[in-house]
Amino acid sequence: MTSRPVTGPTVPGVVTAAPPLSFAGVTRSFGRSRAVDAVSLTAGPGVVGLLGPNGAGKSTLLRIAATVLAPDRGEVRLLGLDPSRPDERLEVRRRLGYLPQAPGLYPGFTPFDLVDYVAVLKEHTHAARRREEVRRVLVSVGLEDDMHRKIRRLSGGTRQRVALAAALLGDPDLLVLDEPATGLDPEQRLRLRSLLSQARTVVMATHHIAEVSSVCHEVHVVLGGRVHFSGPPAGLAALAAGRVWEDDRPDPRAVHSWLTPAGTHRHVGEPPAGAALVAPTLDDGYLLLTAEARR
Amino acid sequence: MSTHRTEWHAEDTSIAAYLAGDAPPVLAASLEAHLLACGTCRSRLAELDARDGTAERDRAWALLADHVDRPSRSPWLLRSTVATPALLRAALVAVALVGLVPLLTAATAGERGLVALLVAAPLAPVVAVALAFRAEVDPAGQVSLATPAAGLRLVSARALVVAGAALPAAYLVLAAVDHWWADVPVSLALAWCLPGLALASTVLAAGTTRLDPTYVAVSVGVGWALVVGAGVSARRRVDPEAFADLVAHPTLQLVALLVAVAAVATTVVRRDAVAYRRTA
Ligand SMILES: Nc1ncnc2c1ncn2[C@@H]1O[C@H](COP(=O)(O)OP(=O)(O)OP(=O)(O)O)[C@@H](O)[C@H]1O
Ligand SMILES: [Mg+2]
Ligand SMILES: [Zn+2]
Repeated sequence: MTSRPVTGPTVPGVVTAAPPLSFAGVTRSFGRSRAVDAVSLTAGPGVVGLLGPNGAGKSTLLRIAATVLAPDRGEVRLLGLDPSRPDERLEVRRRLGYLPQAPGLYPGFTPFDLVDYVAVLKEHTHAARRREEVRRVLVSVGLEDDMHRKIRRLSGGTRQRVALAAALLGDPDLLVLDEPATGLDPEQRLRLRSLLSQARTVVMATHHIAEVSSVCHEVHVVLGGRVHFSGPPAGLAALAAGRVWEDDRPDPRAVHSWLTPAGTHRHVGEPPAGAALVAPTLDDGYLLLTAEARR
Repeated sequence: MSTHRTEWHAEDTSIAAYLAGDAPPVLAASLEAHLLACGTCRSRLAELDARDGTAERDRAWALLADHVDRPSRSPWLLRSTVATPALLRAALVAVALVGLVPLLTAATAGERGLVALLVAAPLAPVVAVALAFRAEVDPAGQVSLATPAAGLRLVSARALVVAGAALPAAYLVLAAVDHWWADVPVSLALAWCLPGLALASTVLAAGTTRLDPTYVAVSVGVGWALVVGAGVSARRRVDPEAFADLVAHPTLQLVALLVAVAAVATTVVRRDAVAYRRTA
């Protein structure tokens, strides 16, 4: 057995002053449709959220960010390294954790064996230290009681946490998570939040706007393969400033209208003269942005 | 610590069986119920796992590694293929495909079935290589694609596991057919190798392009069937000897050799494209 350290070595001389993730003109097509269309963005450090409707291209972007998929065109830099160069890609993979949207874990394994297997692929060659690390990540996602049961006997949310544990191996510098909160109960979601806040850089796709407002330092809204907004969550909410009002009846001119539990109707769009404006939330900003992009 | 009232605790042998995954379901269920309530047995379980279970496993791996790997190298390559029940199941399917299907045809359709067997045999390694590219045969699914190990070594290791199971099976079937039903020309056993290698390495090389290896494998299989079908029908005889003549023909062997060499060379030169895929 080799004596490679548990966490991969860092290349000497590489200064990570560069943003952990940067895309320049990244394009990726499937057949004729462009899933990712000339995307340029920089992200991190901190927790970065990707928002967008189904089919917007979030997962495709994340697969490129996880070195699972190569772009057709464009420049990708991860942790300041170029994944199209074999040696730099290897270095990125040593410092990366990836949670796919559909991990497809073999159900005949126990969480312990599965995460142990991923640790082997991640070059954790020292057996005793590897076991310790596997145990650590399983405990960190709350699987201490389930780690020796077969995966097929675990619930959907518990399986999700097995894949999450595998992504956390080696305390990666860059965590790429595709809908990590899917299927988690409220308690586990809170646990996830605290895990995310301990990580150096997390790029995650999510459909939970509450997740974004509670943990993300920055958010990017992806629509039709393009990035339509990049900035702090407060900036996304601010897009709707002066365009949210409340009324005691429905308003057909609004882009979105709904009845709040308080019994008033809340509207997003171009307010009529004299409307009672209210402070916008992240949801309002997101709804306006997607509605405008659709037009 | 324990909220458990009785003094009963699980026996070490039961815990060990549970850890190894071979406790009967009833025992496993009651043990789990007890473990949930009993801290003492939980820590005993952790102890046993740390001491026996994994030590046992490590010793087994170390033994394998001594035999197959050089001692200085880690056994990850081994583990990543041997520890994949999904892949082993794929191997069994490949064995069934090359072995049983033609065997049944041979038994029911005589000589024509034997020709079917001979046509199908070189496709075993093709199936193996195509499967090796699929994330589903990996126990960690897509997760493994983002690890340092992803790449040609992992793909070829998986292909070897499946092919390694399917090829001997094919030869066994051939021997059985030869013994009980009809004479199989001996030259055929050797004549198979190059076409099989050529077809499989073509699929391997396709994995370095944007083409989906599964589609390429299907096309290669159809192409092979057409070539052999055309060759055999040109001879107006559907019997094993005609097939052997065709496959063992120096021209076909030479072409197969050239294709195999070219495909393997292409794969090695472009191996980085396997580690950083352009297909989905
Ligand atoms: N492997 C693939 N083959 C063909 N088309 C694909 C593939 N993967 C993604 N696409 C297409 O690319 C587009 C973007 O898909 P993607 O999975 O990135 O969306 P998403 O934003 O993650 O959606 P969701 O919120 O539903 O997860 C979609 O139109 C999808 O059909
Ligand atoms: Mg997605
Ligand atoms: Zn007990």
